[in-house]
Amino acid sequence: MSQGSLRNNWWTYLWLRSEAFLVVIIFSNILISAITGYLTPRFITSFYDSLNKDAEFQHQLILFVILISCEYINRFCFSLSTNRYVQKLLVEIRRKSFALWLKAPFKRKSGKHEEYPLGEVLARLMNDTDAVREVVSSGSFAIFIDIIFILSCLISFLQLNSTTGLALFAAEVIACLLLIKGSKAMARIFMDVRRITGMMARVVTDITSGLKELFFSPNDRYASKRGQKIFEEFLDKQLHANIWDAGYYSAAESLYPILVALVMIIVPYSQIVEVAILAALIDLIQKSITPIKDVASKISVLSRAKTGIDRLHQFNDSFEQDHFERLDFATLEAQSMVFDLQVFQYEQGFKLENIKFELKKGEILGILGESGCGKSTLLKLLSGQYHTFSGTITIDDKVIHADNEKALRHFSSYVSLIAQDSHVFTESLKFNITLGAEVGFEEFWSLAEKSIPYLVRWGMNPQDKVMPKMLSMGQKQLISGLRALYLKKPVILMDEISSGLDSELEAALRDLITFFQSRSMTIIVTHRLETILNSHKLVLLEKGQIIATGTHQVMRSFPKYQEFLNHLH
Amino acid sequence: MTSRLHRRFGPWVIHHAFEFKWFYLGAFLCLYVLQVFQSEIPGRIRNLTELLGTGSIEGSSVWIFVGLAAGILLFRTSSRLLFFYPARVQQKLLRMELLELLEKVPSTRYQHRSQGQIFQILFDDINNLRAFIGFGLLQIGNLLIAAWVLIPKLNETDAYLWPAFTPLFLSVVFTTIASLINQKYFKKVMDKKGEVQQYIIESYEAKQTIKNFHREESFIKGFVKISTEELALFFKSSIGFAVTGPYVKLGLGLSLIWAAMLVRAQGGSASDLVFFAGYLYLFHEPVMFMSWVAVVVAQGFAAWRRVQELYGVLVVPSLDEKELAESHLDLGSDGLKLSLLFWQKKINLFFQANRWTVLIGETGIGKSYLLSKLATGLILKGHKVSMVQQEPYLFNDTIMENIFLGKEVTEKNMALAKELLRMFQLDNLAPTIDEVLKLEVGENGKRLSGGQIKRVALIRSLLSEAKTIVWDDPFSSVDIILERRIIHKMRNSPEWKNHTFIISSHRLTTVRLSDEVIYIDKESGVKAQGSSEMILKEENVSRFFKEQLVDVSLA
Repeated sequence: MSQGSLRNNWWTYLWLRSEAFLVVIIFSNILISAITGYLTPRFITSFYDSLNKDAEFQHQLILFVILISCEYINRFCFSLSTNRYVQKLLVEIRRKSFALWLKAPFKRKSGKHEEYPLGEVLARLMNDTDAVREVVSSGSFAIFIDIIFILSCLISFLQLNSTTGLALFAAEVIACLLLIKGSKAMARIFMDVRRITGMMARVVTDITSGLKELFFSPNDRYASKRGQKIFEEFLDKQLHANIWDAGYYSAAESLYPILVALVMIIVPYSQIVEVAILAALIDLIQKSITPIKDVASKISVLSRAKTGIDRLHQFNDSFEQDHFERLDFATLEAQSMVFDLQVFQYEQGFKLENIKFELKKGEILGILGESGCGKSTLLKLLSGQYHTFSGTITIDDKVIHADNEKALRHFSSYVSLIAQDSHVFTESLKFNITLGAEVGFEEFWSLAEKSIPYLVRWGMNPQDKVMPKMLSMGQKQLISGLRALYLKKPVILMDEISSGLDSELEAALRDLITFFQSRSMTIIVTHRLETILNSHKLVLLEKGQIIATGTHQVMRSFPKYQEFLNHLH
Repeated sequence: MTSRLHRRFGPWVIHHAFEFKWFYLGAFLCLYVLQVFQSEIPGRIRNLTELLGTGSIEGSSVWIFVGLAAGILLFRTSSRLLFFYPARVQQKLLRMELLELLEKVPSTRYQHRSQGQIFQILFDDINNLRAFIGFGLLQIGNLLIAAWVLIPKLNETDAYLWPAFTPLFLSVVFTTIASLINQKYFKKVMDKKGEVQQYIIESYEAKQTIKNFHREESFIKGFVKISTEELALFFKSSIGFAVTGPYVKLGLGLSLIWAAMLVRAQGGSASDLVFFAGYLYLFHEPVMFMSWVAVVVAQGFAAWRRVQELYGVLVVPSLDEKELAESHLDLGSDGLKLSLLFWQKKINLFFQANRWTVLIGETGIGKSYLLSKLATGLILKGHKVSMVQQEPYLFNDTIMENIFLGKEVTEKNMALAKELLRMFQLDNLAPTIDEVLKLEVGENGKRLSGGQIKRVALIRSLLSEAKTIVWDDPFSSVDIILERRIIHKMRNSPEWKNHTFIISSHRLTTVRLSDEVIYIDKESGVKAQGSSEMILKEENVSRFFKEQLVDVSLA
């Protein structure tokens, strides 16, 4: 990972100012654990010592109960706080990544592919955060508090008996290191097993998909033979891996007798004379087994989480900071526009040339052409999606040069594109129209109901949830049209009004266009003349060029236009 | 080979145990020795503590601990291996038995199960069964033997300590409760997670719209809301373990305190308490595995039930089979007679032996249905029939494996295979014909085009040694010139003289190149039948082709 190229340190991703309180709790938990750890060997020693002293025992017993209860409460506070912190942190990390990604323009790598296709965005926002969640579900944070606890125990014990204390310390460190090393070696072996498991899954998928085929094709046990081959290969690899993992886990589970044995051979040379000290030593061994056993696996969980964070970090850093000034939709206003394109060319060769038209508020412009004439490209240019053309767009008296990406982006906020595949969200109808802005919706809705009677007959309430799959193409267009109207877009682009609609919906879309006309400049792009019969101006497009333009009256003299007319009747 | 699949869960486990009796005998022996060694430790520590300060600790009594540790390591590893091996072998045997059965029985028996379901049983469920016998049984065995060794040993000398184990054993109860809580939330978390993903997918699709309207903030708000809900559920699901996890330590401490009081009441010494602490720890490990083992057992049981369900379906003849067994289907020397219900009416079909017969009819009339019934029926009656379906399946294997399908490759059929590859113009897939044979076709033939896949399947069927060959629309993606060449060659070659070809087609060319034509129809069943020259003169047939066919003018 190239840490150098990242803008922020990775720990800045782990710090949540708003949850500083939790961090304080977490660190005090660790501190308390260090203290209880330090006290434990002493308490155990006194506890054992007092066993035969009536007066002291009661006192020691209470102290001991208090100590272990404190430790318990401390532990679960720690777990809850770390889990809570991770939860808050993940919300924040996801929010940050989602926001940066959503606000950034679509980046196209080498002009074709998205830099972050959907799968990649999901992988970052979901899988990478999952790696962090796993730390919670596996309780891996506990390893920190465990290690602090054991270390303080050991330090405290060293003062009771340094010989055995040091021996135990050394043995435990070695055990830890061996287990970590072992788990790394095991990771390689398991990788092998995972690979062959994946291969086996593919073969089994293949065979089960082709079973029917085999029934109809006389064959000589093709499936069984192939299955047998891969199952045997898998068995072989798996048994090999089992030798290692049996050894590894057995060693981990046998740590207790092994450590006891190691310590015991030192006892005769350690000047331990009190049973209580030996008891504390054994207690210490017992307490340290689980953390030592877990260290390797917890480290791998934590390192996966760190990789997840790093990947998210890189994801976020790959987006440019969004300095784009957002316009308040209510203030958008424009009376006229001139579109003047000199040339736009795709890498593959198709080009649009010399396309110029102007439009005033209240007018409808129809762009007519057969498929392949460049209609959809023109729509993309008009909605400001490409900035690689030469020409200008003039809105009111502001001239925007097309190569000025920022200005073009600014222009794009004046435009709303209603395409056949305009997105409708699985949210309330109101949300679909307002996209979360609430201002003046009630008035807008009653006006809309008046202008488009279909809305009343349709029976959809603004609060009802929209199920995009249940909607017809026309209904989707209606919703996205209302959205453009509510958000007061001065320029509305409409791509092909759906054909084959029932008459009610067709009327509704006509009403919608009349509604547009009262508020905006409307451009309708189509290959069917009937949809633009009431437009004020027409542009006839062929092979990327305007071949005729004017009112219906003017256009009648063009043979191409007559062809479209003939289709109509 | 022994059948495992027909047994119930218990008998299957017992059968398995007997099948690998020597392994399990060894494994239990290892576990026994392991526990005996482990049980030595607390007592020996007690003895040692009693000698502390007397200066009479001998070196040898200390080195025994090293011996015990080495023995424990050895026997623990061996017991694991002895459990793992039979489980892995059993896994393979189960998979093989199920696969062989699947291959043997008519596919109609499991047609209501998706490929995914069969995959899951063959792959995941049998793996869960493996986990049950390899891991579950190991831990159960370990617990039983630990109980068998440790309980009498403690009873012998220090039975009064038993009550002190209660706090430790309680932790099993708590962990089980925690995993139940976790389970309860797990599904909820998963559902919510699906919603979060859906939100991202929608935002992705609508990103342009959102941007254009400058409504990013409300989408971020929506995302945060749903994402917070999901993570809050996730947090709740972790509470159970956060509370019970640390309890284990508390339980161990409380057990020790309880024991201290018992020791005092008994007039014992600190050494006795050290002894107890050692025992406590020996119980701690197998007990901690308990809640995990419960999950493995439950999963294993459920997996066996699913395996059994599939097995039950596989060994019983399906409805289709019964129907076909009762239907009239005769393969005589003169030809093949079939009568069955077709659009609620009886239809009688006759295909002449050693001829090429083409079945024609409107799209969607059920030609594929008739052909597949015919092929299934013949196969069930034990005839060697090869059928190429409209969309044949190629295995993710080489062309050679795909055309021979496990059959022995002889010089003769190899020569035929090469000739066919050339004839079907597949020889240009690679520089040499041998390289073509070695070509990997990819998942479901994705490295080949649809037409190439079809031609490989046709070659497969010609190499299958079946005398009756059924092809459902074989030439749809082959151009007319190649089609004509293939049929001409085949009809003039002695190789295919004694084969009966039954083909469905949409093309006039195919009809012209065949001997017989059967025109089927919804109302009248067989609307016309006869030799191809004769039938093409019939008015309704020529009208059919005018309406249906695109390449009339070319033919």
